[in-house]
Amino acid sequence: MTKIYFMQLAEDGPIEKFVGLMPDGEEPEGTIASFEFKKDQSTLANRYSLKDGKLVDDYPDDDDEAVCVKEQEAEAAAAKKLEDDLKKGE
Amino acid sequence: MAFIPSSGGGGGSIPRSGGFAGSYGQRACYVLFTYQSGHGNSFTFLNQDFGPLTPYHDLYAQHTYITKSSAQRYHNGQFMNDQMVYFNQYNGTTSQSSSSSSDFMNTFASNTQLGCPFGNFYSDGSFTGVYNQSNGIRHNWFSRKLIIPSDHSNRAINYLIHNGKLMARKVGDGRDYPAYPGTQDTTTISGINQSFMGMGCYNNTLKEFLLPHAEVTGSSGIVNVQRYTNFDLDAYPSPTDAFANATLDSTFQWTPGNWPSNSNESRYNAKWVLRNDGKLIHTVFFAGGGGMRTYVANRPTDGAATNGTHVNSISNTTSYGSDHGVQYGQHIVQSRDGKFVGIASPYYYYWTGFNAMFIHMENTHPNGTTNTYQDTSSSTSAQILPYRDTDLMVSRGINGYASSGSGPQFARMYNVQKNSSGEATILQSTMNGTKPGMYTGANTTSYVPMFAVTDYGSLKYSTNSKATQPFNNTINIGA
Repeated sequence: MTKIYFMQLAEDGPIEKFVGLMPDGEEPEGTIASFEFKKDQSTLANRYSLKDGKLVDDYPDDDDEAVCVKEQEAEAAAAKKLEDDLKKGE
Repeated sequence: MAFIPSSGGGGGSIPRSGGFAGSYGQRACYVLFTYQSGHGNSFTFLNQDFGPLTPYHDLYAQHTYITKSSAQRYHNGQFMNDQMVYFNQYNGTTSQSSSSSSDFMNTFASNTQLGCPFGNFYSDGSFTGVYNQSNGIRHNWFSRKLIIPSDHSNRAINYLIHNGKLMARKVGDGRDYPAYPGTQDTTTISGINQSFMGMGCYNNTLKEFLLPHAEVTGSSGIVNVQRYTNFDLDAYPSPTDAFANATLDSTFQWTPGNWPSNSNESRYNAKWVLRNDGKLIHTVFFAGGGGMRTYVANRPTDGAATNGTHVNSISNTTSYGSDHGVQYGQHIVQSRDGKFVGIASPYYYYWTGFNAMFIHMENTHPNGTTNTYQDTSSSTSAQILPYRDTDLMVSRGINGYASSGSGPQFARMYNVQKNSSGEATILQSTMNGTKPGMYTGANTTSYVPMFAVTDYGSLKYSTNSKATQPFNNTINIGA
C-alpha cells in the first residue's frame, strides 16, 4: 500500500517526505509519522505537511498541477528576493 | 584528452606522476558549474573529497575566469568561448528547471555514468564540448541510458546495449564513438528487440550476463531473458570474445507483478541488476504517475518461468521518459568499483525532482529491498554522485547566489559496509546542510549542478589526496 512517510534523520534536521511502497511493513529510516492514502486521494507529496501529528493538505482547493506551479512560483520569488536583498547590500 | 593512465604499450599500467593540469599535484574528481553574469559560464574543479582545487572563486566579484582554454578559434584568433563548446545551447544555471522541456544544466541527469551531459570534464582539468552528428548536444544524455550495470574490473570501460549489440566504450565516449581499443562490438544478437536500451546486466563474481532479449506479449513487461554463464569481461573485455567464450545456459520468461502501464520508457529503458546471491532486480520508471518500481526474484538457473515481485515503489507525478525525446528517461550511476548501482529518474516533468533506487551487488537482503531517495521539488533537482571507491551520494542542486551560503548541498551518503563474508550492507547517512568545500560564486541566481569528472572511475580514492594511481591494474586504454 502506497503511503506518505515523514522522516527526520537528524535531531535538528528538516522533516522530509517520501511517498511510495516499502516492502513488508518496513519504513524509511527516521520515520516519525506515516499515513495510508485513501481511495482517490492525491498522492502528490508536495501538497501535504505534518501538523500536530496529523496529515494536512495545504492546498485543498488546487489540483496537483496547480500545487506544483505554485511551488515553482514560490521558488522563483524566493530567488528574486535573495537577489534583490543581496544587490541592496552591495 | 582523457587522463586515464596509459598502458605504456606493454599491458598493465603506469601510475600517473603529475597532478591536476600537471601542476597542483592533485587530480580533479568533481566539477561545479555556474553562470557568471557578464562573463558567461564557468566552472570549478573539486578534489576527491569535494575540497576546492582550481580556479578559486571565493571572491566572485574579482573572478576573471572567462576563457576556458588556450585553444584558439579557427580563423579569427579569439580564445575558446561558450559557443565553441555548445554551452550556450543549454538553458544556463540562472533558471530553475521547472516544467520546461529545455536542455537545462541542473537536472536529475546532471551527473551520469558518462559524467556531465553537456561537456566532458577530465581529472587533469581538460575538457571538451559534447556534440555528434546523431544527437547533437544531447549525445551524452542519449548514451547515458544505454550503459548497463557491470562490475568488470577495467573501469575505463562502460558497456552499452543498443540496436541489439553489446558495445565497449571508453568512459566519456557514447554509442557513436569507436570501440574501446582492442574490443569489438557484437553484431546484432539474433532475435533481440533492438529497441532495448541499456537492458542487461553483468555480474563479475558470478561471471554471468543476463540479457533481456525479446518481449513476450508487448505488454505487462513480460520478456524472455537469456542467461549466459562463463561470461567473463575481465578475461575477455571485447564483447565478441566474451560471447564466443560463454555459454547460453538457458532462457527464462520474466513476468513482473503489478505493472501499471506500457510506454517506451517502461518497455525499453528498464534497468536490471544481478546481485552476487542471484537476486535479480528489475527497475522501471513509469512516467506520469506510475512511479519508479522494482521487481525482484531469484533468477532461475534452469530456465523456469519466473515472476518478479513488486518490492519497492517511489511515487512520481506528471513526468516524461524516453518516449518524449532522445534526452529523456532514467539512467544508472555506478560507484567506482561498479558494484553499487544508483538508478535515477525525475519526479516532475522532464528534469525536475528526483527519484532513485540504490542497489548493491553484494547486498543480501532476502527481499531484495533497495535504498530509496525522493526529492519532490517541482523546481529543482538532485544528482547521484560516486564517492570514494565504493560509495554513492546524493547532491541537491539548490539555488545559490554569490556568497549567500546556499548552492549545492549534499543530502545523503550511502556507505558500503562489508562483513567478513564479503556481504554488504548499506549505511545511509543524512548529510543535510553539508556542502562542497567551495561554492563557485555566481553573481546572480544560479542553480549549480555538481558532477563527477568523466574519468572518475579509472582513478583510485586515496588517503593521500595527491595520489594519482589508477583504480586497479586492469585500467588500460589499450595500444
